Order: sequence, then C-alpha cells, then structure tokens
Amino acid sequence: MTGLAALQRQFQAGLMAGNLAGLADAVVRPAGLAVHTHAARAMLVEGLADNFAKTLHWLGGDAFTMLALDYAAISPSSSWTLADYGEDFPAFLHRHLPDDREVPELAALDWALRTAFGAADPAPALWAEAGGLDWEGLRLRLVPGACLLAFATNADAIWAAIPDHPIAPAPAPGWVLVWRDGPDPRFRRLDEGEGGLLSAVAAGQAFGAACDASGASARQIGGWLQIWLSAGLLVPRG
Amino acid sequence: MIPPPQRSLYGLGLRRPHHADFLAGDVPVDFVEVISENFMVDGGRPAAVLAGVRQHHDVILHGVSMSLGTATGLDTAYLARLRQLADTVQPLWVSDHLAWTGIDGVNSHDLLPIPYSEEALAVVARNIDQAQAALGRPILVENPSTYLEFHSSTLAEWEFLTALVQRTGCGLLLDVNNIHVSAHNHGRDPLDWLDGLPWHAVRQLHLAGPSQGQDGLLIDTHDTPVPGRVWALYEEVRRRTGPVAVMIERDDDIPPLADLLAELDRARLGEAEAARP
Repeated sequence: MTGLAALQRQFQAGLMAGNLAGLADAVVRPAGLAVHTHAARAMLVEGLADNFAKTLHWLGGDAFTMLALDYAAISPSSSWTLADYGEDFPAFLHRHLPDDREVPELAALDWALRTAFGAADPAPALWAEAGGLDWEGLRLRLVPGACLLAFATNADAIWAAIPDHPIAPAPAPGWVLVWRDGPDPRFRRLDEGEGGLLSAVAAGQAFGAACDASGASARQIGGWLQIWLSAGLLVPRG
Repeated sequence: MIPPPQRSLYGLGLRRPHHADFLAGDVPVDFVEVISENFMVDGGRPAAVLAGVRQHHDVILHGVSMSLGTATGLDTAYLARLRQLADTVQPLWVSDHLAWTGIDGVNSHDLLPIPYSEEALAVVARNIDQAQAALGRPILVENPSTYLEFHSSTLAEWEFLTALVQRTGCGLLLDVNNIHVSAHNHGRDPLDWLDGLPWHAVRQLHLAGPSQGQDGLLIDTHDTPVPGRVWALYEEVRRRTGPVAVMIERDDDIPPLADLLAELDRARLGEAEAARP
C-alpha cells in the first residue's frame, strides 16, 4: 500500500467516523479538517433530504436529520451521484421506527419515484404485438424505473396530501404501482386483483399460471394487460 | 491539448430554476456548463433537458466525482458512462477537479485535498492519462479550494498543476474564487498562483463567491455573488490569459437569471479592461 493510499484510507475512515483528529499531525493547520468532517456528512444528509423529500416533510427536519445522520454513519455512498444514495434508507427507517409503518413506506415511495425519474424512457410494448407469442408460458418483468410496492398503510395517500392537507396514518394494505409516464414519475394504488396479478407476473411466474391463480375474469385481465402494455411496464424475461 | 477558443466565451451553469430559460434558447450566453453526473442517467427529464439545451447552446461537461487524486486509480464504469454522455453531447470539453472524493469504492461527495508530493503527482498524472484515454479526448483540471495543507507536500499548487500539464497534456480550468479561498486559508498571496501557473494551458475560468466559515477559513460555497476581491483577481487573471471560456458558478441560493447575466456582463467588461494598455 502506498503512502497516498494509506493516507486516503485513514482520511476516509475518519470521515465515516465523523472525526479526522487522527490526521492532525499530517496537516499544517488542523482546523481545516473540521471543514471536511462537516462537509462529507452534510452532503450525505442533503442527498437524503433531496431523495426523500416527502419523508423529510412528514418527519420534520430535526427528526429526519437525526435519522439521516445515523444512517450516513453506517452507510457510505458508493455511487458517483447522490441521486443514488439511500436505496436501503426505507429499510433503515423500518428498523428504527417499527411502530410507524407509514414512514418507511413513504420513504419507499419517495425512492421509487426518484428511481423512475432518471430511468430509461418507457417504450410501447411492441414485443406484445408479435405473432406466435406463447402467452401461457410467457415470463415477464417490470421495466427499470417501474416497481410495485406492498404497503400496509395509506402512505401513498399521505404522500399525495403533503404538504397541503396532512392526513392521519391508517392501515390500508395493498399494492402501489410506480412508473414513468413520459418524463413524469407517477404512482397509483391498485385494487387487490390487479395488484396481486401484477405482483405474480412481475415476480416471474408464467403468465398463464398467474392468471389462473388470480381468479380474475378474462375480461378483467385483458383490461389490466392493456393498461400495463400501453404504459410500457412489462418486458419478457431473458 | 484542447485548442483555445477563437474568442473568449461567456457562459453559465445549468441549474434547475433556469431550465426553462435555457430550453427556450434565448439566454445570451456562448455556452452552458452542466454537472456531468446529473446527466449520466438512462433517460427521463434530465436527458430530455440536456438534449433540449444542447439544441441551442454549446455545452461543457463539468464533473465532481472523477476523483483524479485517488491513489488506486479511477472507476472504469464511471469513465465509460461519462464517455457515453460526452459522445452524445459533443461538449466543448470535459473537466473535473484536482481532488479525490473517495477510495475503495466509496464516494464522500466532497472534494478532498491531496498532498502536493511527487508520489501524488505520479498518481494524478496516471489518472489523468487514464481518463483522457477512456474519454477519447483531453480534459481540463480545476484547481481546488483547499482548507488543508499537508506536511508531506513538497510542491506548491501551481507547480503541481504545471507538472500535470507537462506530463499529461491536460488543460486547466482556473477557478479564480478557489485561488482566493486557498490563498486566504493558507495565508498566501494569490499573486503567487498567478506568477506560477502555466497560462498557455488555461482554457476556462470559474467565478464564484465564498462564505465565511469557522476559524477564519473561507469556504467555497458558490452561494453568494462574486465578491470584489475575486473580481480584482479576475482582472489580474485576464491580463495573463488569451481567449478563454468564462463562467459564473452559482450552486446555491440561486438568484434570478438576470442577476447572473449581469455578473457575466461584468466579466465581459473585465476582459475589455484587461486589454487596455
């Protein structure tokens, strides 16, 4: 290991620990170390605040910042952009706020919308128009930027109501679909039948078997499929 | 090395509050500088905005995560993605900082200082070579704002930059505010930088405003108008440069576009002032 690499690893470890005092002897004016101690942590917290804006609003600035600092202390960024930072922040919130189920779900929705924002542009599902498709055995997946969130609460309604009309959290189990409509990320709550079938299909279950298991009518399934395909939500696996 | 522009160019950074103005195509600038990483995406609004802006303006790709100072080399996936963006945008040039942001796959998202040592010089020169080869074009390297000096430094910053230019053929993006900040923080005369820099390699200037930090340190925050001391230093700089690209760099507390254009007009006047005998 070179001297520079050793210095940088020590510096980085100090940033993660929030304390660069170990480098005081290496620098001319140690006061400057605090600038980086503060900046590196602040950048991560600001990144989380940007990526989880509605969660921040729901929790309030002080509570959010405390949680974000705890998260940043154990979760370094590995991406070239802060827009990618916080993928497992919803899971972190779930562990730290086990009695506030709406909070990690709000964060999951924030994250899904953020991910959809820069995902590849959705394209019409031209593949579905090809003749000879074996729909029975077809296995599909959601396109990048689309996702299906399993919610236990009305976090989607809370998200939509922030900041104008705050509503109380309440149990509301179901599926919330996130996707991109042109340049705009969108979400909507699915009814039990559509959510269940889309979940099974997106998980890779053969289309025919998933339809059979859903108990939905052919007319219902045809309607849902038309919506999914026109939104470019699904593509064949493999 | 990137050839100098035929005449000086004046531009602004692309920031979200001004997207609509730049998309309309009637902002009186010669170029728009964008933060590369914000547009290294698969699609969506960022890609559409950049494509729309590019229809009206030349673009400069300015990065913050290349980490040219990392001892263990650059992230090849990052370089490949930046190359993809550069091939699409066909920028005037690509730039990043004389700094490191992380090592071993971690990114602090802070521009961290390097010791100006022979070992670091070899590392940064090797990394610039790697970047230029991967990107298929020479790059500009920006002098940083620094808050630390290492005992292990054996070169002045301007000597380090001069050696990088000689070894790699890179050009320089000279941030005038960064000279102001670093000189203040280390008790040096900013004219030391101006006397020692390789002016033939300077292709772009950044102008920005710092903030007062703790312990008497100036912090490079880009959240204030360009202050008088930076304008004065800019005039000194313009006496030493030929045609370059000049940009007002504002990243926070973003004012109305008209305010930034007024600062850009002042930068144009600075060129004229410097040209007087």
